[in-house]
Parts: sequence; C-alpha cells; structure tokens
Amino acid sequence: MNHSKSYRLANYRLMAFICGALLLVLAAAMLLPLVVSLIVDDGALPALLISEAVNIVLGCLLYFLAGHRHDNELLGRESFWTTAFAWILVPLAGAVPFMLPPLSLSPADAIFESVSGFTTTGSSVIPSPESLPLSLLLWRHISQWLGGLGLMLIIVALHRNLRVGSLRLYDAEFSGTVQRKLHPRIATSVSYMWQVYLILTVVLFAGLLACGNGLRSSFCLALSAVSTGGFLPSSDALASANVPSLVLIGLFMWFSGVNVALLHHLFHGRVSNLFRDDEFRTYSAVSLFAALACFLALSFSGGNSWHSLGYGLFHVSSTISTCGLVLDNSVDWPPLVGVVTFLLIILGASSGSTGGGIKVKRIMILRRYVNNYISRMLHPNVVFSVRLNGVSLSGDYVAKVFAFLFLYVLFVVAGGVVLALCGCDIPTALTVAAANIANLGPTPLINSLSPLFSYAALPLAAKVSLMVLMIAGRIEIFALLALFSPAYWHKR
Amino acid sequence: MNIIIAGDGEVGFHLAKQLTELSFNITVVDPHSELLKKLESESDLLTIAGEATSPRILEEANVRECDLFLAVLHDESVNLMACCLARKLGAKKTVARVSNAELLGDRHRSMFRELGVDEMVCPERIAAKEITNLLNNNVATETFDFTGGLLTMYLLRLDRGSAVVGLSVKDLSQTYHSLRAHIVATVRNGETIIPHADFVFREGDLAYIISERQQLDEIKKVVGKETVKVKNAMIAGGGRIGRYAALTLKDRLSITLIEEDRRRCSELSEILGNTLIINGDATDIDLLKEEGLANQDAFIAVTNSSETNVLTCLHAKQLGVKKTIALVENTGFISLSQDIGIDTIINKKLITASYIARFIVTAEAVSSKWLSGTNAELIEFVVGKRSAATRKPIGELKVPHDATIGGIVRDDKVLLPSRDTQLAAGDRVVVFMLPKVMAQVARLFKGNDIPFFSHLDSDSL
Repeated sequence: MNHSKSYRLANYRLMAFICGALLLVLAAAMLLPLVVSLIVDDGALPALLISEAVNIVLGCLLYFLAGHRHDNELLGRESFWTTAFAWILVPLAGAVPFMLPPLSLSPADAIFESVSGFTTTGSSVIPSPESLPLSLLLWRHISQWLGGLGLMLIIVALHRNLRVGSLRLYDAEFSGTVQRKLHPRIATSVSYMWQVYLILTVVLFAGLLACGNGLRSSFCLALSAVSTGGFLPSSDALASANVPSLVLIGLFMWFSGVNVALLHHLFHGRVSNLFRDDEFRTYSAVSLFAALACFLALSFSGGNSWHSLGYGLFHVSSTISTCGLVLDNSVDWPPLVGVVTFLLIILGASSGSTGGGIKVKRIMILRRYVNNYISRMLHPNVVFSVRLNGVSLSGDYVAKVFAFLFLYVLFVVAGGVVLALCGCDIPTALTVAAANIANLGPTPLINSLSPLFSYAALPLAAKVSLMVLMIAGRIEIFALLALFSPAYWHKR
Repeated sequence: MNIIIAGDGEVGFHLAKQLTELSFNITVVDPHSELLKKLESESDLLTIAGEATSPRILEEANVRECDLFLAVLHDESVNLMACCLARKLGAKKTVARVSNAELLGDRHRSMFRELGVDEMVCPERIAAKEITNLLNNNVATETFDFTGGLLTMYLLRLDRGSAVVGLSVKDLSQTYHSLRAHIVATVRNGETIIPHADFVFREGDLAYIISERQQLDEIKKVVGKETVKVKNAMIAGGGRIGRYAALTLKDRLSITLIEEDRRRCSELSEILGNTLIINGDATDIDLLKEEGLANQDAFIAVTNSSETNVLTCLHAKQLGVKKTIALVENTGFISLSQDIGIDTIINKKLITASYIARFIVTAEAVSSKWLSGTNAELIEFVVGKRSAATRKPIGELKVPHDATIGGIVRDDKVLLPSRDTQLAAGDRVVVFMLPKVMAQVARLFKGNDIPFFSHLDSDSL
C-alpha cells in the first residue's frame, strides 16, 4: 500500500459523485411535477418521464459507478471545477422537459429557460407562462427554488462526510464573502441555512393562500420570491393580486436579499445581531432611500401618492434583492426611477443571500478602501485598515474584492457588446447584460428603454452569452473562470 | 460534543485537527488570524481570532454551550484566567495547560475546581515522564499504554541480524506462533505501511507492535534487541523538561546536565542534589567530549533548538552512545530524524495532544496516541452496544484498508485478534489507522450508549 500520493490532475471520481448526487436530487424534485401531470393530465407526462429517466440513469451512473466515497478530499481547484461543472450540467439536465413535446422549445431556448431558472434570474423566452402545462410551470419554479441557495449547498448539506471539501465548495460558490459560520461543522451550518430558506418559503406560501390567492399562484409566487428568482406563473399574476399579497411578497423578497445567516439569528430572537451588522444597515438604508426617491419622482410626475409609495417600495424591494418580479410593465417612468433602478441592479443584494449582483458588502469595502486611500494622499504616512463589522480585513481580501469588481464590469461590458452587435441599442444592451449577471432578469427598466425587447427574439449568440452571464453571476465569476483558465489545467 | 480550544499556535492547532476527525464540534480561539485562516481551510471547524481572556470573544465562541474548554497557550496564567472565565460563562469542564508542576498536586485541586479549572496538564512534565519511561525499558523507541496498562504499544527498529528481517507476516506467525504480539504497522522510508500477509520485513523498518507487558522479553528475543543497562546519562538543556527529567532520574542514574545560562545553572544546582551541572554550550562538541559523552549510556538533548538537539544526538550516536533521545518541536523533522538514526524523538505537541485526548472520552474512543514519525494514530475504542462491530466476526467486518485492529481486552483479559474473533459490547479495542479513515472506523464501534467524560487520576502523571 502506497501513501505517497500518486499524482492526479483531479479527484474525478469525487467530482463525478457530486454531479451524480445533484442529478438524483433533481430527479427527486421532478417527482412533484410528474405527479401533478399525472393527476391533471396536462399532456407533459411523456416529457417529464423521459427527463426523469435521463436524470436517474445518468445520476446513478455517476453516483454509483464513478462515485467513490472514501477518498473524500477535494482540493482547491477541484472544488472550483465541481462548482462550475455542476452549474453547467444541472441546468442542461433541467432543460430536457422543455425540449420535448408538448412545448418543443429549440435546445437553445430550453437551456436558456433552465439556466435562467436555476440561476434565479427569471429571464424567460416564453411570452405567456399561462399557456404552459401546469407541470412544466411548476418545474420552472422548482428549478429556481433549488438553485436559490446554491447547488453546492445542497451537496454540503446532504453529503456530510465530505470533510474539508465542503468548506471549499461553499467558498467556491460564495467567493469567500460569507462571514463566520453558524456552527463549527460546515454541514450543520449549511443545514441551518436550508432551515431558514424552507421556513421563509412555507410562511410566504401559507400567507399568500390566506390572502385568497389560488394554490397554483401562491406556490409559484412563494418559490419565485424567496429564491429571488423572478418567473411569474402568469403575465398578470401580480397585476391582479390584492394589496395584502403584494405587501407580503415585497417583504419576503426584501428579506430574501438579506444574508441567510443573519435571518437565522433573527429567527432565534437575536434581533440585535441583525442591526449590529454593517451590511444589513446599509442594505436597509439604501432600500429606504431608493424607495423614497422613486416615490417622490412618481408623485411629482403626477401619480396617485398611495399608489406611488406602494409601487416604489415593491419595485425597490424586487430590484435590490435581484428578484425581478415585475408589478407592471407598462409604466411611463420619470428618468430618476430609471437611474435608481440601474444603480440598484449594479449594487445587488447582501452577501450570503439568495440574491446576486456585486453585493452591498463588496461596495462597502471598496468605498472604505477608497476613502482610506484618499486620506493617504493627504497624510502619506497614515496607517489604515479596512474594517467591516469591527473586524479589519486583510489586504488580500480587499484585493480580491477589487479583482471581482474588475471581472464583473468586464463581463457586463462583454455581454453588452455581444448584445449590441446583435442589434440592441447600447443602453438596452448594457442594462440587459447587467440585469442578467445580477440574476435579476426581468425589470421594467428594459421595457422602458426598448418596449419591443424580447429574449425569445434574440439570436443564438446573444442567448449563449446571456447564459454565460447568468451562471457567472450566480457562482461569482471566479469558479467559472477556473474552468477555463489554462493555469488550472497545468500539472505542477 | 462542543469543544473550544484556546491556543496560540501549534499545540492548539494539532489538537483541533485531531479532534475534528473524531467528529467533535471544534471552535478554535487564537490571536493569529492568518494562521487561523489556513487551519480553517484544512479542517472542518470554526475559528475566532482574538484573546482567550476576552469574555466577548468567549461568548462569540458560544462558550455557553461548550462541553469542554481547553486552554493550551504557552502562558499558564492566561490559561488559568481563560478557564476561570469560560467556566463562569457556562463551559461544563475546563482544562488548562500549566508549566509549573507545583499546581498539579492533589492538595490544590479543590481550590482550582472552585476557581473553575477542572484539570491541569503540564506538557514539560509529561515529556520528562516519557523520557524516564523510555530509559527504563530502553528497547523500544516509543511506548504507550492502553486499557490501563494491559496492552502496550512498542515502537522497535528492526536492526541487522534481527530474526524478523526477511520474514513475511505469514512466516512470522507460523515460526513464532507462541508469540502473543501483533505488528500493526511499519514505517519504511517515512511511509506508513499496514503489513498484510505477504509483507516482508526489512532491515531499518520501524515496527509498531501491540502486546502485553509480560511479552516484552519474548518480543525482545524475536526482534533481537538487547536491553542496554543505562547507568549514566547526559542531558543537554536545563529548561523545564531537562529539569524534570533530571529530577526523576537523579536517584537512579548519574546525570550530567549541560546548560548554557549561568544563572539557571545555579538555580538548578539548588534543586538537583547529586547531579553534575555544567555551564556551557551544548553545541560545543569538545566540551561534551571533555565531560565524557563517549562513556555515557544515554544522551538526552532537550534544548530549545530542535536543530541542536538532532545534531548533538547524531554526534553522540557516532561516539557510541547507545540511547539517544531528542526533543524535536518541528513535526516535519520527526520522521527524518528517525531515519538518520536517532532512537527516540520527543515532541511536546504530540504528547500534550495525546494526553489531553484522554479527557475527551466518549462512549467509543477511550484514549488515543498520536504517533510521532507517522501521521497515523492508535485509538482505543469501547465497542458500543448494538454497534456494527458486534454483528460479525472481525474477518467479515468492513474494516478499511488503512486501519487494523491491534488488540482486544475483554474483562481484563487480553485477546489477540484473528479473523474469527467475535467482538462483544464493552470490549476495548486498540485500532491503528490513518486519519482519513477515522470516521469510518469510529462508526463501526458506535453504539447507542451516551458519551461520557473520563476522570483523570493524578498518579498517571
């Protein structure tokens, strides 16, 4: 028996095992639409059965044949690869039901819809969701919910003896922005996060039912709001909803943009933890300020003030949490609302939440660093440290934030260029790129810029680049780059 | 079980890593945030950068729900203070590392209990104790008692001319079937090997043998080791370990102690009666020769510098000293030092960690020995009620390839494991394993009993 580790490029077996496990989770989740289809007989049963079979066969193949549990060490680059790979494989597997009849979308469209679901973006190539068979509609919303907290977090919670690899997977998906774990054991802290997520979903679902919404729209809207997804069960689902439901949805969307760890403290009655957190305070302040700006702008341009207030709050909550549930697409906006919306798209939600974007925490770090830097220009010998929540951050950490910002801007610009080449005007192109990398998806801003814009009409190149943006935004870019960076493939 | 480890460097980190493997929930409090980041990326535990004596930091570490608080910083007053605080803030049991052996006695135990310090550990004294043990039965380079002394682990080097060299495991058991001993592992060129039937022993292998104490003479005969009668010894370094070692050995052996610091020399001369205390530099080989290094039976190098200890030991070996013991603090050096011929390496970190692990007795794991020179571990388990291990004989159990059962104690009687042995609940089993299979092995013995704490008896010190 030899213990000097023979060289391996990667622990392929464990990577395969993880991907297999995810496919089996997918298969389990697909049982719900399958049963629904069986009951209501909506014509999608064959499609679902086929994709269920694909998931199970492929999943079992990866899980049982290639999978090997005992060598459970996952090195840094392997965890990046696994993360990126899983985020490509799972949406592909999830797209199968959309490709088959009765829907028969083209592969590109089906994959776009699935990527958009799992990354909780919510951009859709299907113009009227009410025309979808019920089971496929449910599948679209379930995919958002599964992707909401992150695919790797499913693995970490389920596969407890992954040892060190767990933290690496968790880090790869969150780019190391998450603060202290909730429990010394990573698997336990992740299961706390799932508890919070589940509670939010169930409470919102029950609340929406109590407000008199139908089973179908309550379920779909609850999944969309808590996962900060953005798919709608029907085009007028929100326009026709009553005020209490909208208040409820707005509130839950906003809370879904808060760090899940903080919500865990909140659920355990440690409210002060919430308000001591720098990021939460900034997130709240920005939200209120933006809502106020929208309210004033809409009131001055002649809107009913109650309506303007409600609209402003809901819109800001939907945008800052990168949820993208659109209340009303046909608004004639004052310019200020558009500007505020664009800024919120760039900002994004809190770190460690289901939302996307650059994240409030990173912007705070950058702002503090720049402040300090300016003071260095005045006092060349000043010693400073960037502090967040009373803890000073290392230079490495700040450098990583800068690197992220650079990559993020680069991706938005590159995506914008592709869209512009495909015929969008430049403001629309940049907005669409920014909204998709932030996993926001639908926003009234796109419609107010070019009312005729539709994802379905985009050429293939634009769809592919948007898919790349969605995945990049969801796994915070670094993990995706690791898959394509030659340095990661070299033997050392 | 939730354990908080307050440390300032390697002892704490080592403990944390090992205990994480045993599926405890570990939180490490340490002032070095950069080192913590590395630790956290290597093990599944929580780290908090800060001082262990800050109540705020302790509360952040969730001391209220802490079952065991270990303070293993270098400074004993910090450890005692941290334990007091942790106890008042809710820790159920506290252990402090101390450097003053005076605190350890039974006389003050209740006073410290009242203050909130349940147990105290003095690594220097344990190291000194280990040195005395090794000189007493100087065949082995490392020994450790399990199951209250019924089973003992010996580490022996297979020298040229040993009858075992050239034999395979199968041959060995046929030739010496009366020998009640089990070779659980060998280390060859720094690599740990669990010998299966066709494995052939070679000269220079280090063999980990588990056996009863009475069998030592038999083992000696088979392995071809002769006991060296140690009459005199030279100790280089008059720090705490050197002092404790000299204190325990001075009545039986004639001791020469070399210490560089003149003031410390005069302090030592006050407590050490019949010991020759020489003021000088241990790296000065001429001085050592002049003081009769070549005529010594044993040479013990315990200065603060690991390099000095290794080099002076090599020199002593060259001059014909039969037994050399070196204190090596850098764990990376250990296997290398053993390869180049130093008999025994003492490492305070490993000793302390092994020792503290005795406090953390669960239903399954009773005591454990973290071995120097290899990353493997010996752990004593109690077979749990209705555990997987009780269902089939050993040969059919799914024992991982990187683990082997070394010995079994049932009702105070030693059994040597064979393929047909059937384990029963309550048996104590000593298992040799690599850390990566630890969780799997622990699962084999896990029953439905409730974990409990052990109580340390003070004479084991």
